[in-house]
Amino acid sequence: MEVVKSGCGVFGIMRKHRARKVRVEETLSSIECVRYRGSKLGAGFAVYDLDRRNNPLTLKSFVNSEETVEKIIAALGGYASDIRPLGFDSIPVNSFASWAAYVEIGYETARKAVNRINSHLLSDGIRGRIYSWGRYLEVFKGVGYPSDVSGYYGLAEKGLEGDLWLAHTRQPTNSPGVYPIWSHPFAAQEWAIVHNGDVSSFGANIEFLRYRGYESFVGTDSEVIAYILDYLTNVAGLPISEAANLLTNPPSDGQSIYRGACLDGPFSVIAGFCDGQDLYMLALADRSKFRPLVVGEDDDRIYAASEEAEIRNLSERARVWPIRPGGVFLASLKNGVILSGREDVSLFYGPYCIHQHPDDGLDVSGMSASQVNSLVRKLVGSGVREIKLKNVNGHRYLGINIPEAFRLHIYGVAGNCLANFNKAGEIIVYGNAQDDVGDAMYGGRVVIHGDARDVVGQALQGGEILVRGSVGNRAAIQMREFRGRRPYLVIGGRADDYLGEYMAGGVVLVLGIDALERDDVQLVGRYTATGMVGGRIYIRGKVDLSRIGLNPPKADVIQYLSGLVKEGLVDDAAFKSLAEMEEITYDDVRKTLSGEPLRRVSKLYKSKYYKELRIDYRELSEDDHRILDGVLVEFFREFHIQEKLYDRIASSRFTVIEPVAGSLPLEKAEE
Amino acid sequence: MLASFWTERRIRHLKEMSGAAGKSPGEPMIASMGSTGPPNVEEPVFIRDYLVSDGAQVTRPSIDPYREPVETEVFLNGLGIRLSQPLILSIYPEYPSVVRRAVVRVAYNLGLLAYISGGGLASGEEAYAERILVDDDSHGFTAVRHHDRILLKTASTIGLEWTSGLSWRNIVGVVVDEDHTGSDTPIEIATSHVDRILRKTSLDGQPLRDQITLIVSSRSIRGADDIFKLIALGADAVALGDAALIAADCVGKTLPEELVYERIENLVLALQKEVKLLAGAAGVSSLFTSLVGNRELLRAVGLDAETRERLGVKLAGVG
Amino acid sequence: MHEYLPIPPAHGVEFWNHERIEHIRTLARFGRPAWVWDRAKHTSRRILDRIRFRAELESPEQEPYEVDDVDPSTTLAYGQIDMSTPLYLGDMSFGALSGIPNIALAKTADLTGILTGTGEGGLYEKVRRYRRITVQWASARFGVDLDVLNTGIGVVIKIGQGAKPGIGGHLPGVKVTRPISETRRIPIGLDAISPAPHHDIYSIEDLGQRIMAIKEATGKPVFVKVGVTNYIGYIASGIARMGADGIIMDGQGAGTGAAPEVVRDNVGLPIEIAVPVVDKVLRREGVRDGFSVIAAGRVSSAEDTAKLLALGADCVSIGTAALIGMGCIMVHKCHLGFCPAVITNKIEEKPTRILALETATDWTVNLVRGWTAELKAIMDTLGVRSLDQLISRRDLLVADSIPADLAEVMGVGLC
Repeated sequence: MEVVKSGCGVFGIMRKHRARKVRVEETLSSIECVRYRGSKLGAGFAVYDLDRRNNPLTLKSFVNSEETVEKIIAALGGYASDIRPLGFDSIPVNSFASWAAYVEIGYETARKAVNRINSHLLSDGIRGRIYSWGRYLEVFKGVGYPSDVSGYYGLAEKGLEGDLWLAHTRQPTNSPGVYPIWSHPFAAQEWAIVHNGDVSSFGANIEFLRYRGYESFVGTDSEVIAYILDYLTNVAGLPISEAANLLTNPPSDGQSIYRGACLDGPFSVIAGFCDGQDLYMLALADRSKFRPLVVGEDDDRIYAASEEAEIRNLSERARVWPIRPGGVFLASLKNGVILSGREDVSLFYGPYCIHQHPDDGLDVSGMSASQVNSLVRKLVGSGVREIKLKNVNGHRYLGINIPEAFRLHIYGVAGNCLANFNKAGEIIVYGNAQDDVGDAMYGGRVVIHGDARDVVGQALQGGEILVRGSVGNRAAIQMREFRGRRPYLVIGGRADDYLGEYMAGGVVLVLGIDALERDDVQLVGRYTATGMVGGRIYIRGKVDLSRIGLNPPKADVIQYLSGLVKEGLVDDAAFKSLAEMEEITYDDVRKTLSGEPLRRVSKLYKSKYYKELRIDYRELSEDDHRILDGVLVEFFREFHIQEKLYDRIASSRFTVIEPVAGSLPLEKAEE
Repeated sequence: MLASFWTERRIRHLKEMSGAAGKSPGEPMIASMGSTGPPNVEEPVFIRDYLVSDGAQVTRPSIDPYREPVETEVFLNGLGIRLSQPLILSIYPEYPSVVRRAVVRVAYNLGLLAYISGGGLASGEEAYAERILVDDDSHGFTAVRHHDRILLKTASTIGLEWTSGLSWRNIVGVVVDEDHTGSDTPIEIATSHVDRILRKTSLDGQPLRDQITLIVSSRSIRGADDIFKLIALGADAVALGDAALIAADCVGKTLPEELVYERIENLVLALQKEVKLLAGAAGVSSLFTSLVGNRELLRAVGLDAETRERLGVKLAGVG
Repeated sequence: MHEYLPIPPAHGVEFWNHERIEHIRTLARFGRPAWVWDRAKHTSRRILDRIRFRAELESPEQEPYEVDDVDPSTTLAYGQIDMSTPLYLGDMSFGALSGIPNIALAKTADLTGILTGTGEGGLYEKVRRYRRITVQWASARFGVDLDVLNTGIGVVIKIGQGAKPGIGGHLPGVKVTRPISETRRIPIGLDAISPAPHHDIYSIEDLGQRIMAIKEATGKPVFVKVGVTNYIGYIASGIARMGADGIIMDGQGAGTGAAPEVVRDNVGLPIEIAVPVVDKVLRREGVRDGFSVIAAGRVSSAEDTAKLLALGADCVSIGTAALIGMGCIMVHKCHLGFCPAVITNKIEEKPTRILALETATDWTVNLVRGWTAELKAIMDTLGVRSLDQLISRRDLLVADSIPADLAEVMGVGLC
């Protein structure tokens, strides 16, 4: 089996129980917002309709000839009590057409039949593939951009509507021939999934499935995700949330029956499922959050998408928030959001703040990112010093290399790679931004009135980035200082994992303004400041020490300590006090042990490449004020925050993180 | 006299990691300039010398074990034991007692298992018994025991005689030992074969392989690369034989026990980091769930088609 | 330093053996062809050495000769960059090399009309004045900003390298001296370990996004450098489709200033397998024309060059060979910073020994000239007059004692 790789864009939309059904045009327009994530080599849709409960199973297959159709009917005859062919439902493209039939057959028998027939269809070249078999679910997929595929099946002409839609646009990195069997969504029984990523556990997942009744694989990792969900819920009977958790997080209780169901590597998965009672939309993010994934909600619909732009396309007011690393989001038609996919949604991702788009703004709706950037360049060249863009929705690369004394106002959702490589000028976003803001920026200013997503300020070397809301994973990664410039990243809300990873200079400030009344809320995720070698991070409030750095698993530390107890180097009381902690940080070890036992246990924490961090929880000193006051005043002014909060924040206690040797020379004041 | 596959390069590598040589104990060994290893420069000795692992690039990211977690823990279910990494330290009868004592302690402290080949517990070792495996021939078949749990021990072979007449209900694992009498197949092939046999066998509706533990053992295991490849071929854990002895560099010398202990401990910590580097390079963040049996990560540079088929490994250049 | 050190006896098996080193030194000293067919390959296990030109089997004993009417020139990146010969002086950073060698490579590229890459260390001030350099955008973005990106003739996005695919660059702390600390903007004395992946490139569409961002910002050709790994065919196809102008593929066995030995020896495939696989995939997808395929990793002679071109590459990159031309004696201790040939030693502010820039440049220029002359002689013997008649000509090759299925994957007939 040759392995087929791809990258992609995904979208999911489900109506709430009092709202009207969702039309195909709506789904199509949203997935087309991220058309650049895909290609003409594959796209697809899945639609669920609870009204189909009295229908027989709809089975759909790609076929390369009438002969293949006959073979499938003949094979099905051995399993099904009735088969009613519906004919071809798509025009043939690249020698495959899609054929459909109603089939009276039980689920378990259907699974067996589909597996057998699919093995057979691949046994002598690629003759076809049964790609969808469900009562409530129907998949439409093929080779082309989403709009092309919708056209092949005449979805708009048919006025197709549903309760839940999934959509996908594919970027394959190889297309051995260009066949629709590798397009998403992949389906099994009433599960359908779309996937962005490339799962590294693929070989292990195949071994898991191979001996549990799944014999036929088309060669892409995305397909196994559908089979795993099918197996865990429909065959093994696990509840959806448990199955989903197995996929995203390896079991730490040592059970190995389902370890082959775990996914490793990057994945954002949006899935649909119907159990006959209710309709579900599931969204999963891998533990390292290697792929973007946001979800959203407004009065009528629930959304999941690769990029916020896809949601804004349909909903001006939706609250949008990112799934946390390893997060599971689950919603159902009857019950709404069941699992929100992260903590503290209402605190940090409040109702969307809408900024009035100015009349004198340039309307960029319908323009491509290149066109917008060309336009901006031209205006800059003609001497314009301030530009307002409105109806920005996911446009990428905005504001790259704008000149000194220039201001760019962006109304809407700023797409990926905002302000990359910038050394001057000012960019203001009246809305949210997406991934990769300010990469390798070394001067100038970026102001974001909403949230930013992952990888904000990577290798930021100068200038400032001010974010009123929250940021995602890997903010301020590799930030550094150069030639007297000190970069600043100020975050009004919170950050997720890996804040300040491999940071070598500069200042990060996390304020959690909207959580001022709460002292039980953490403003950062895990692995904060891992590999930090310079610079300083200020986080308001007391950060759980277990969230800082990369600690060895507690079980390893406990095991080692019990060995030291056996050797008589550690007494029972010390052992017990450490064993009771939820996580054992190096700080805990250092406070409890000393001398030889400390040296021994340190080996688990330290390495040649590890730089020890000093972590204080304290009020801001005079030096801190000197470093921070300027940018804090600007932050308050820029976002019109009440003055009285300023004193509260400035007199709060902060967790201050920096390497022990300390690397913010105090004389390195502003340029 | 060491076997010829213990090249000077391999020995130096182990000693630098243990601290018996060089200046960076407990760390993966760093080298510079191009590789001189098998199969393209040095003569390959074992099948695994023809196997290379994947590097994640572009289509998925590799993982940085210096800054992001790569989980090496494995659970040996049937034994109810968690290993901090998929490594077992073997002790052979001829080992000096100072090495034996050090290995038992390292295995305990670092959350591994020690496997005492050809004997039972010596005095003073009962305190560490929860982390020791011993041979046990009292069951009518060759076995390895941990407390009252039994693992079946077999030679490295693809013949199936060892499975006949078994009640799997009382057996919690299988140990494939290349040094056991009757071994007629290279350990790589036997590992892959046994892994697959156990997956095809069913117990209570689930593949047997997911309910028991597979351990492979050979005195020819030379380092983290051998360990990594055998896990990818199907093993849950690999028993490290003479590598620990060589790393301790105490044969023919009288060294204090603490020094021998320190060296073996350094070796184990360094091996763990090397395994993390290999796993991270391939984009794998959890060995237990994603590496075991993941033959897709490997490719064979050379090797005949039949061998590759038995391993389940594709030819280099095939996607 | 302006004399070659005597070559020490080899410590174990070595690809870069006496014969190879001597041959390179001869080229570097005199700038004229020393042999036609590579004489060092006969004792080698390398797959590329077991692939032979039919023409060689017919006339193995060829004395070197000068050729006039063969044209070794070519273009890269959809015709945007001219090359007088298909030779790229591989991306070795300021830091991995100790400064003078970096200048020598840049000067040579300008003098001979080829290209060199700055590697991951940022732009060394003294290299800035040379034109024919590519600037590297690597995972740590050391010493790189827009001004730097705009300096070279092109940008190389480095995803990986052959010696350690999946692992980032590594400059040992002992070599992070003040000049390095300033160029890379990192603390002195601490190992500079670049992140394993680019943290903004986790998928093929992310790579496309980064390529576009760099093009939006600089307008320059963008190459993507990768190590050769299991899915090299798909990776190359993705890179071409995402808008890059070329791919630099670095095979297993390639050199490095520092890498964990376990990764260096166990991850990655040889370049000679990657080149035909990639050439075939790109042609099948219709994205081969104009897109440059640059092959690196143990390229040791003009015959290696000709073979890799015949297998499907447009150009080769040499790293170790260039360093040997400057005097490297393969001590394998670059990571410790005490290079006896003063090539990869740590950079001191007041060095006691330095490589003479004049000499290093002369040697490298001669190496390029001699190498090219040998390549021309090979082309003449093969009966081809220009590179486009040699590229992708797998029919000129046969596989000698290589398993049949591997030969098939490589597209080469059996002996």
